[in-house]
Amino acid sequence: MNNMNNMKNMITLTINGKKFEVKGPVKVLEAALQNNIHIPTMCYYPKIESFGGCRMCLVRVEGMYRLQASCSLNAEDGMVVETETPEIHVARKAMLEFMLINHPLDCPTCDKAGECDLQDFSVLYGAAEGRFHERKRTEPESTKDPLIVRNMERCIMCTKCTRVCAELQGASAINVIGRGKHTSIEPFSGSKFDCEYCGACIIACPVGSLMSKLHRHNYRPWDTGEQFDSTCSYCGVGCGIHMQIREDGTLQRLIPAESEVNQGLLCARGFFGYEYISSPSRLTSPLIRKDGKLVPVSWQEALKYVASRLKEIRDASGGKSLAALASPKCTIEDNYLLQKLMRAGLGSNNIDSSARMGLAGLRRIVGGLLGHARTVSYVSEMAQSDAVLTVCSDPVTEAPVLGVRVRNAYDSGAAVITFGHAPGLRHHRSVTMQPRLKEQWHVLGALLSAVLEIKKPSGSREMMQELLGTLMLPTPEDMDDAMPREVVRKVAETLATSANVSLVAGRELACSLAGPWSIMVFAALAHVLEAKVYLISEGPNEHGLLDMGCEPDMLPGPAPMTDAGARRMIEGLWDARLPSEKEKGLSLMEIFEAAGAGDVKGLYVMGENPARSLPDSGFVTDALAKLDLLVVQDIFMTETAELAHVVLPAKTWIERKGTYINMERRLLGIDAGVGAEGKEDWSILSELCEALGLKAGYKRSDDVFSEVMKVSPYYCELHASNIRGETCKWPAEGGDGHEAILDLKALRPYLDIPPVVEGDGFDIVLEKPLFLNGTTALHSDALLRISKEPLARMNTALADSYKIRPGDTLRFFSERGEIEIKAHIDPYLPDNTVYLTDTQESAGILKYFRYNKMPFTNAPCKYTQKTGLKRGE
Amino acid sequence: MLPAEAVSQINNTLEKYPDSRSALLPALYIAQRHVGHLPLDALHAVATLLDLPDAHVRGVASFHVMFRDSPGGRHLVQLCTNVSCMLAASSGLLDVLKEHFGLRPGATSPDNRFTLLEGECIGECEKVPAMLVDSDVHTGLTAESIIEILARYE
Repeated sequence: MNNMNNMKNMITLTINGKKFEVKGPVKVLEAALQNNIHIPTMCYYPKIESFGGCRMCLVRVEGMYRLQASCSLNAEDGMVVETETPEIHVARKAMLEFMLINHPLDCPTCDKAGECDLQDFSVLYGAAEGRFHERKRTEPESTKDPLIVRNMERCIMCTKCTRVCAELQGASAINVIGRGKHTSIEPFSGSKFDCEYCGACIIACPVGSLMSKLHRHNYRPWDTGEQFDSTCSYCGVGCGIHMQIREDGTLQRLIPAESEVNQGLLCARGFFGYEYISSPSRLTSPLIRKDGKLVPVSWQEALKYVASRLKEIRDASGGKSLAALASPKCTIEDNYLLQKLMRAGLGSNNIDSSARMGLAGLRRIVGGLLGHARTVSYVSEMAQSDAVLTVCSDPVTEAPVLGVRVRNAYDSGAAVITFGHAPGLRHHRSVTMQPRLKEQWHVLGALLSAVLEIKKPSGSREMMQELLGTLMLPTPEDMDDAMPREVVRKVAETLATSANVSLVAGRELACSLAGPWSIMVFAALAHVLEAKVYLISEGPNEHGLLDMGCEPDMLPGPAPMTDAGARRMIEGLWDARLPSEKEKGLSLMEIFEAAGAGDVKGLYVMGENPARSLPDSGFVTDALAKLDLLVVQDIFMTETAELAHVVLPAKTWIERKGTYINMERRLLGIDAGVGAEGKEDWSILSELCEALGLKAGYKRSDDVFSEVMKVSPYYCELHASNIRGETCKWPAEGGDGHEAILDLKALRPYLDIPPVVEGDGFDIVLEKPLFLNGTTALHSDALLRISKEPLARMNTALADSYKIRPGDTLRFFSERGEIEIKAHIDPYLPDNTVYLTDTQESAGILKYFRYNKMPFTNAPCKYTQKTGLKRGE
Repeated sequence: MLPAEAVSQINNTLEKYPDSRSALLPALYIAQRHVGHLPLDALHAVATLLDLPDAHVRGVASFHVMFRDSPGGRHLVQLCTNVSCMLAASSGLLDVLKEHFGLRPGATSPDNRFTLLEGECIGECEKVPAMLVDSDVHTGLTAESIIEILARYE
């Protein structure tokens, strides 16, 4: 049957005298391109509707009266096409002549010169002389935007930028403004773009009309020396990035790569957020605190000091008194060695990371119940969904390219349901469900019971059957006050009757105040709907660090601490003893609780900034200050590093090699593009391992990865498929990981519907900003220039009840502290909710929250008992 | 921000269309009628009401001559100067408007009553010359009737 269809879809056509077979439906231009016949185009862009505006792709088709635009002509069986004949050349030359009427021919000062389509085609078709004597268009170049230069004199109105912005990115931030000879491409404001700054328009522009300010007048394509493909390290999507290095070894620019993950897309962080690598505030030398001040020392002195202090504390108070934070910004190799140092070198299981706030718990419960294979889905496949449910997650800011794929799905007709706050999808959603915070998880439970009224789970997953039999759920009627039952039933029907459903969740679900119950509801929804599951990891390597055993109760592999076989194998390989399996390690917040109580005396922090990034950050900072030894390995002098006894400068992802596992569980490589001061994280750890008497001897990060493959059979599989060029995610088709592995007994205490926690006053929702999502972003000048002022957004009713006017400075206070932030009033926001920009800046928003540790996962769930606000002076 | 009446009119108009994109032109008309012209914040308000991207709304508004981005007179006069009307001497009417009301194409009368545009065809070619005042069609114009018609607009 499939064969028959394939046969039917195959088209044979003749191009330039040669016969080709192509799979239809396909445009003539694409059929030619697939067979390495290049037809010139200015307005064609793959992956979006063809436009047929520039008329450069004209071809002669036998039997057709006029020349045809090959970008918009469907290839048909038996077609005979000529792409380069004297007649076609004359036509193309004529089109170029038109385009050059207004073009200023200012190539010497244009950043696009050397890779400009208009320049190249003019040379190719010889449109050097024009017969038109019109005045050139004069319009000053607009440099009002902080990052994008707009030059309308050079524009040829191919509109590729506006179409890419609307159809691919889904931002629709720029448009064709005006008509006739006054037409121009402009953002809404006419000056600043005020957009998502994904850079797609700059990449699409075939001439020098839209250009990046980051390399203005200092970029010549022919100056590019070496080029590398690497992986962006800003979030868990793991977009492919192409690094261009100048001949002098400095970074020229980053552009999106056509990787399977992002297929040419990037977000602002990836496209514009690289200046931090040359920031003057980078750490360059190791520092040791002497007489209360951090002073530069040699690497030898610093590492000797760290090793001896760690040993002293271990010998005096035992391994239990030492702890470490691993980092999802660091590679598999780094995290593996940190964990090896802690377990084998120092005898401690106290290792955890910021993944505790998200992926660690999600993957354990959802993956454990459904089988890990079900919890990883390809980012690019999101666009083919028939229905998408985002659960308290805004993928546009948490995993931007995934968010764009949700928009693409909506544009292709999918029903997109945003549950909770997802401002990035406001133009791309069919239904929005936004219950009050205290009841939102109960409404999700009601949605599951409404789905179960329509659709019975299929398949023979016993554990899920058992779970569905015992998981208590409210009915839509029970939750009628929080969300009208008709809405819940309508959404349930949409989801239950769609063939290809995708579910998205991230940290909000992992840190739900309704506990593991809400995560089980999510897993059950995925099971009943047979949905693709997208668990967002906010760091580039959260899966990788979890696989490497950077959790208190897991070994690298990953294998449970209690797995006797794994313990024997690892102890044999390392020639060292692991801490006893009875030694219960401390999780993220427990480490700080123990530090505050004086039980943890030494903490090794790699690439994390807990003083800023954890809830109740005032408490965390106090705990850090109590430590006898705080070692911070980072690229910047963070708030945490300022409290440290030793600071070790590391290298960024642009300066080193290594591997990540992205949210699809795909193995991705990063490559060293430029040199830098500092040492690679794994190499610092390798030296410390040796100083503590472990066999290390790693010369390159590859050596560490070889050892990882001995520990983890599935990394072997991943690595092998990478070598075959498949960049396969784990688990491979039919491989392991389809089995449920969680013991349901452990979850039994959480099957009841959690009580609704009544709070007074209004709800506070933290809005994640797209541009500034962490320390590296805060050191990127370009991202700072486009970032918006932190705001407290609320609707008119709430503002009126506190007599707030737009622009007022507000003081929010809780039992933990106060923050000052400017008010913004938006009449279209829901009632009784304040949306605070979470910039992670020292404004201290996280200081304002307390946390509860979620039972079972230990994720810190933010909350406040009392919230209030006053108008500032 | 749009006046409350404009918002309710736009919301009513929305119901007549299958989707908000197709209601954009009437919504812009309503906004302009209430505000007098379409500054960026009016375009943003329309975009928000219709759940459309701001830049799309500005693109549409900037394309059509009947939408103004700067303040004009209380009434917009669009006198057709396309072929049929021109043959019926609409250019003579331009002179009348200049003499009688101080109106020049593209400009606003000193009393801020009218803004005049040389309009494009409004499909009334059998009853030429024709003009639009705001959204009212007037046809078969003469030097006398045009003065008499405009006198009705305060």
